[in-house]
Amino acid sequence: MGSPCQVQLQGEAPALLQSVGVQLEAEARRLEAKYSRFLPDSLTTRINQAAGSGSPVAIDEETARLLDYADTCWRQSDGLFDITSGSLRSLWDYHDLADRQALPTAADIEKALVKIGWQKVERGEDSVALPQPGMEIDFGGIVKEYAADCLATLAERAGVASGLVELGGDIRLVGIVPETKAWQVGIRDPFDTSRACAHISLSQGALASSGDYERYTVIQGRKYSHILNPLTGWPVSGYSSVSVVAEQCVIAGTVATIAMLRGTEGETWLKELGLPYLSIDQDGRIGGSIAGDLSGVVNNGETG
Amino acid sequence: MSGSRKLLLVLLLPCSVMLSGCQPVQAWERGVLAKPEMAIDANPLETQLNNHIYFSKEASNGGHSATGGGCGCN
Amino acid sequence: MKSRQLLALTASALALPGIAPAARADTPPTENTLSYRISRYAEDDLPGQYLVAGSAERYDINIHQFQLVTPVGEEYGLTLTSSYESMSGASPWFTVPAFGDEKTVVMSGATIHEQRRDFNVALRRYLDNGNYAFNIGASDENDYEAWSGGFDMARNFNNDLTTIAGGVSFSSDDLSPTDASLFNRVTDESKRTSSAFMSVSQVIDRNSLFQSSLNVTYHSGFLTDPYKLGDSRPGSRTQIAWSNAYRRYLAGPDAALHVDLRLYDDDFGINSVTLDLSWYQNLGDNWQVAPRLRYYSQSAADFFTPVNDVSGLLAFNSSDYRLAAYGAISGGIQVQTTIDDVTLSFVAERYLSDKGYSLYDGDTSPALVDFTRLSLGIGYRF
Repeated sequence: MGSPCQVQLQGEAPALLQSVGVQLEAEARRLEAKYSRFLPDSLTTRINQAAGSGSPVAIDEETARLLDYADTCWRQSDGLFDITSGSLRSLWDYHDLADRQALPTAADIEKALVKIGWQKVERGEDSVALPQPGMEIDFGGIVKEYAADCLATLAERAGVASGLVELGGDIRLVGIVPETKAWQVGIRDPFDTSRACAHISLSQGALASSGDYERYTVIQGRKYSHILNPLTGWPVSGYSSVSVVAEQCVIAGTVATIAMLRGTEGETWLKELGLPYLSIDQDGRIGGSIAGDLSGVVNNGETG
Repeated sequence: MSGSRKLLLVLLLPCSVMLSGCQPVQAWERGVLAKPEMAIDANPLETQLNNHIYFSKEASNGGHSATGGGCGCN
Repeated sequence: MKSRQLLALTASALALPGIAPAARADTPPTENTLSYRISRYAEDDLPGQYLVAGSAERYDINIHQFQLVTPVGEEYGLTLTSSYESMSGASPWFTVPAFGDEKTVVMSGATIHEQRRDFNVALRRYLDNGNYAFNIGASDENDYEAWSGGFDMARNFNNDLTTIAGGVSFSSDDLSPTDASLFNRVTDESKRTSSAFMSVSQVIDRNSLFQSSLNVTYHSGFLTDPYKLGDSRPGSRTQIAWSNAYRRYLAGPDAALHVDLRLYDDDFGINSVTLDLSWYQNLGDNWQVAPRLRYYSQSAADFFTPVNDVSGLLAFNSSDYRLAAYGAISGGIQVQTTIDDVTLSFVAERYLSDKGYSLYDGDTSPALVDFTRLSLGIGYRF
């Protein structure tokens, strides 16, 4: 999945755990092969390569439901969560921009925005077409979390007592443990990635995070975050990271992402949703409904 | 979305639970709903005895299965 | 409670293949389990002021239960259940009027000693999307013999979140009361019972599920109690029971809540309500304590009379306390511990019945029972 993954299974029968482990690995590889935009043979790549060609690409049930989920996220985020927003990434290439101390021009942004917009995607029940050449979809914000849910559910169905699936930092538990035996999950300090700045106790469900790990880049004396609004094409300023607890990892992940995209409105959105969350703002202050008695401030070494 | 990166939660700290596989912990097959105490009939022999006693002492009959007869007690 | 946005996300996420919460186990047993339980059931003696003749001592029963659950091949599970009961005591014969409104019970004269044995075999086949089973059973007392058989099946739908089950059973019972000539009892009678049920269970979320069942049972033949003097009941009886079960797991206390509600109606004119609450509390890895509270109340049968009718004018008549209006409250506790492959359990229950507990108006009986029941069990997995 392009990031560190681990699966831990607990149970009484070693043979069962081993056979389930093999199944889970196969399932993870299946999803990666199908949805990774970096693999030349993936469905995502085929959809993107057909952009602007006028011929729709056939999709299966699973992909149709993932696109439906992406559609729900797009609607619930008022257009902020948009799986077609990938081309902004190359526009805001911070290494290049910081070196040149230059911002994208309004014309560049205008050009990029033409290739962005979920509402432009032509959906059929068993096909999808991207109308503009160069337009791209990216399941990155959904499939990793979906995969964690799939793997955990597979393990549960196979009879695994309890366990944990972690795909690139997003976690979904297998089964359930009493709160006294809850998994202690460390939240990585966005300002010092070698340490945990908080621990969340999880006895069931999932925990996923979204964060602006590199915080911001200073260009011409102003700070720009790495969270990009697909409607304006400009960076959004808000949380440094958000971690959300939900029954499904895919929900935890997309809610965390939407909270980041909402910038200063992120807190309102999270409170409305009512899911347990932990946020860290640009100054390293910890907040959120599960911040509880966690220590208040993460050390924010002032380096750009 | 495009700039956000998800690499926060990589630290996992074992608590009271052993994190390695194959540890003998309670067998909660298939998640919480398969825990024995979550069954409609959590203790079949106890239920059987209860039904037998209540059937012989009370006028009512019938539950989550087909029942009735087989006892001179009622 | 959930916000509109979260509901929209959840509905959409649950439509994704492969992430719906895992349903209950629907697999054949993978190991053998042998269980034995001994129970002692003791009725309180009847209060002296109600008794005019006979013995004040009521039933004491010792019950031994045996069960073996074993896998057969890859797809089948076999369950053998057997029980043996030995009872002693007297049971109420008939009720005669005393002075004023007081009613008085006449107990059967002698203390009786009886045994009852029963045996049941069930073979269940487990399929990918459900299971089905056949069972046959027999029971035997010195004055009573019964054969029974049944079939049931269950099918899972909707990613195994919904299960629909149904089944039928039949029983053929033969009565040959003791001391028939001495007391002018019937000598050889029989009754038939047919029963059918349908149930729907639904997984509500990862922690809770609900089941609702409808059971219809039809009895025909000799339904009168041969040992109760002046007892005469209709030759058929139809019973309908609607049972509802809710199970919820609470991660905080590591406990499971059981709520069971049954509503019942029959053509003897009896309605009843049963509410059963249990709390299965896990304590550490090896202990479980489950307190339980049960409430039951029934109305009286149309032909119930508090004292036996001696006029001979009534077509049907019974003073059997089981057909009276009353209520019963029982409380109990189950303690269970698991040590490796062995499970030990202890259950205590106290049952009190009284007209005062009744939800229903109508005639009651002075012969209502109170009892205490203790069980000790051992189970071994291998």
